[in-house]
Amino acid sequence: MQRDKTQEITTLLRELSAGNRETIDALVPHVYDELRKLAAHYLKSERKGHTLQPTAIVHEAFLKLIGQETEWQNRNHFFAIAANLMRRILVDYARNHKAAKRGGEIENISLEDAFIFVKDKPDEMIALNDALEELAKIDERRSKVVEMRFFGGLNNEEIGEVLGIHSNTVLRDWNLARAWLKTKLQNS
Amino acid sequence: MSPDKWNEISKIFHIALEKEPSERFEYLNQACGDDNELRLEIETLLDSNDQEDSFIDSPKIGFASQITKLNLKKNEKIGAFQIIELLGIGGMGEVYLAKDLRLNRQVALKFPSLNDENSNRRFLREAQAAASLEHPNICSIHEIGHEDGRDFIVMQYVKGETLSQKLKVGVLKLADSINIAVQVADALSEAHERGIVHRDIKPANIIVSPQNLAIVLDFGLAKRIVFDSNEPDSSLKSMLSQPGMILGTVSHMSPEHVRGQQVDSRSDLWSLGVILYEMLAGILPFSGETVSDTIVSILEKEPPLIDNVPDELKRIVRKLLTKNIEKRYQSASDLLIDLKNLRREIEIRGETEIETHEHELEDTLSGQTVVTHEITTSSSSLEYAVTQAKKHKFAIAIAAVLLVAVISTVGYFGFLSNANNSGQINSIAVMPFVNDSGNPDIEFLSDGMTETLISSLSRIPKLSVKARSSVFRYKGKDASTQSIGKELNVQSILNGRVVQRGDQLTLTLELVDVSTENAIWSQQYTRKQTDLISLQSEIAGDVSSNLKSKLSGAEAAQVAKSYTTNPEAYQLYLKGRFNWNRGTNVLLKQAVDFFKQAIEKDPNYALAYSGLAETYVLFPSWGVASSKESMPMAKAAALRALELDDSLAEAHAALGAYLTQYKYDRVGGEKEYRRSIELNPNYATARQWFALDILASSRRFDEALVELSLAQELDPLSPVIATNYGDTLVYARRYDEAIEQYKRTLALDPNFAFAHYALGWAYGSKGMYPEAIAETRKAVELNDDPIANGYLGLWLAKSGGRKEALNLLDKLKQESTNGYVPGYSIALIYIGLNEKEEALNWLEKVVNDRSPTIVLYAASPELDDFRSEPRFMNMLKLMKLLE
Repeated sequence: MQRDKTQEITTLLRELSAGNRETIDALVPHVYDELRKLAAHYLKSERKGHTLQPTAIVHEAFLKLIGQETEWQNRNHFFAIAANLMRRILVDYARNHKAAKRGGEIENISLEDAFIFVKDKPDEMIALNDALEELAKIDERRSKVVEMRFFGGLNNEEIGEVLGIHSNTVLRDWNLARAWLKTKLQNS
Repeated sequence: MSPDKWNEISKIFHIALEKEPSERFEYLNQACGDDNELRLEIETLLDSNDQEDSFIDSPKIGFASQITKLNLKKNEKIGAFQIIELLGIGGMGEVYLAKDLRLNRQVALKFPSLNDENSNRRFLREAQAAASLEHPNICSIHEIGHEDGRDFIVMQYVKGETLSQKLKVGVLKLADSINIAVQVADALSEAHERGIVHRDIKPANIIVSPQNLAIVLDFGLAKRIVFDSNEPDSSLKSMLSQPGMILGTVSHMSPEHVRGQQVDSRSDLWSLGVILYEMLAGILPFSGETVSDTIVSILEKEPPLIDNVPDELKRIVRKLLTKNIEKRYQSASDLLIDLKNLRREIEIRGETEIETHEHELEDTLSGQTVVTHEITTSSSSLEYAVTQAKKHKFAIAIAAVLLVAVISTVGYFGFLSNANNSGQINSIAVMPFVNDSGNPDIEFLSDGMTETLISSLSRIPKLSVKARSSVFRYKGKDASTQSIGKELNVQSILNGRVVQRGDQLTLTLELVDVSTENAIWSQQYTRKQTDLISLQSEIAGDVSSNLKSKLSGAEAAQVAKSYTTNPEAYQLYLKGRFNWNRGTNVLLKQAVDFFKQAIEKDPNYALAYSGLAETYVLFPSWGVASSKESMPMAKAAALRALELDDSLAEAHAALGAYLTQYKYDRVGGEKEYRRSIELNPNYATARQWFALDILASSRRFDEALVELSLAQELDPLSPVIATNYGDTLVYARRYDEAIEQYKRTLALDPNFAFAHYALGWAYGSKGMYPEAIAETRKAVELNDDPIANGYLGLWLAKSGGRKEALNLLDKLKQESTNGYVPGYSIALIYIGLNEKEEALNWLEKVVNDRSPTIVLYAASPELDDFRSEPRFMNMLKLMKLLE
């Protein structure tokens, strides 16, 4: 069954990079499923001190679903989609967790160690998501760049390939968007 | 937000981001103009961008990792090492206690936790930097191991607890705190001397053994201050040394570090200051609920006072936690000496408890024997010597001698005493910075930095700053402070020395009070050659504050103003100035090339346009090109300069010269000159030109003499201005006074050709032809200038030397076909030969050619016979000189 699924996704990705945007809809459930499973697995086990970047999950999902043989264009498109999904999963998780914590004591959030735990500090994740949505209204492309880099772990070249822009432009987009988001997050 | 606005923000942001942080301010001035909202928006973005410590940069979201990169078990063997236990997991790596089976000793093994390239490089970098350090208070690196494709550092295993663990228990004892601080300072002193900055000094990186031995760990984020130019891995170098990378723990970071600026050894001293404060007070000096709050606190707040510690220790902590890096301790060794002295005081008293301490310590310090002891043992810590000296009058004299001795020998760079100088300083001479690099190629830099500083300080109201041409007479000469002070009539002298090491320049400045010959202030600056622009602003600010001039915000901004943010443009400008100041024909042409190149690099570089204007204005006088060729270019450059910055005195003066000399617009010219003087009352050249072009030429001789006196005061050693003073006396027909003035000028500079023929001119105007001829011949011998030749011909022709005069006439005419010879020189000989028509022809030509000095010559005594000639009157009319 796993084999068939991989085949299917690979086919879908090929269509996607050939320009068939509708295939995203077909692709999403598969990827979402896998990501969610992985995320749940990791979020269940509590061991502070070791942290994992969200992109690690995306990579793991990729390996599970597709494997190494895929052409790099397909791979990039996969990550672009996965990044978006990862974002959704994490924000959902943060929202749920926040709801669960409501009524409890208000924690003084210290960014001192620069480690943000979705579980302990869901506000940052939600704030980031809100800020990204706001950015998308002003500048769709730059918000995509952030999404792919932050949640998908794509590098500038890969993002450039997905968006059809030069990697230097991606870097510039990232710089501006990041600064803008930081400002937003600080003010929020 | 509208798309247009967003696009504009985006554009400016990207350009600003590519500039050095120090250059951004100036760039934003240009790019945002008056749009403060836009500017604020972009500055906020830039600030956010510079702040690395953010959620976005570190998107770790708390998934407990199942994939432990290293899960080394007890007794597991890694090469020759047998794992004993996991000691800890740090930001950069996992550390295990292990046994080195070869040597049968315990060691610590540090593995990078991530296998990405960056952290691996940083990891090895750590080892490289730290391996060169051997010091009892520095954790030593034994080797770099490599097993199973994994690099790890083998280092000394230090038993004990970290200082952060100790601090959790509470305040440390005074003696323990000082002991630990002494040891850390000692470690830093060693590392800094080897060019290694720790960059992450914090309690967690200091292990204290049960015997109270403190050992500094993790020179992990260290970078070399002095880069070896042969170092092959330049990309690594640039990556790790990039300003803007915030690494380390915020609460112990220095202001410059949290700003993302360049961090150096003095930043480590700040961090040690934070630790010392923590040990004594039990709390952090700067803290906040969030990183941002902590940063604000570091940048803006003063820490709460610590109670019950000796004043000297408070002073030390305060000096360590000084936000301005230049006013902080400048070296760990200075700190070390202060700490050790303090420790000794406490030991002598046998007082280690805090409570009863303060008063008794004070008593001890005021005892004579102790003070003498201090003075003799703390010779490299002037800071301390001064403090002691203040407390004890007997020692003041010794301390003063010591101060001077140390400054002149080893050079101590810090904030010295200004006890002798409570008043404001009203006059200063910035002496040419000595180029001590042994590299004549950077002569233009040492000269240029001097000149830029002169020009910046000139903008301070009520401060007389001696002009470049006067101070540069001392270049390369050994003159005493007293004699310079007397000759230039100044209260203070600023000396500078430039040393080049790789692309780093170290500038050492010393401000000396002439009356006492004591250093008021001394400072050392080390910067990259490309950072000179911001350095110049900084120096100007530092010097002005040490002159005790009270400046308004706008004035201070003027003083610290830099006109370009482009380091290349700045250096080209300095090269242009360098040539301009050497003022020969060829060099003036080269100056134009340099100014033009500077403009190419920075099309909005107002000063470069001004330099261009000032050079073109000189072209006709120097015979480089005719007025018609050069003056329109001077005008264009001056206007462009003023368009960019209307406050440039030099450009206004150049425009004044253009208007009076070329357009014969005396009203407009006067306005420009006056504006120039108003903008920069210290700009001697504007006063000089104004006196001649406007005042003397329209026979306002007394005014002209006043203006020239003022110019002379600013530029006391300028032979040109001194000569011009004599010239004005000649125009006023006060020949005897003129002769005296010229003789005085020649006494100062016997080889100044211009003064020789001017003296001849005064003699000749009096009818003393033999004397006139003798002096003019000297001038010609010194400098075969056409005008000098013309005057020689004039006096010869008037006194029977007709044949020689005709020869000179032929010679000049011959030369005029080859190049640019001022027509006035030829007219002079025709006047002498009494050939009025020819003389008038040449004079007309001169007037039509807009020869630069003709407005002046029109008042000359040799033309008195022409004043009733209608043709000459027409000329005067054209020049708007006819009353």
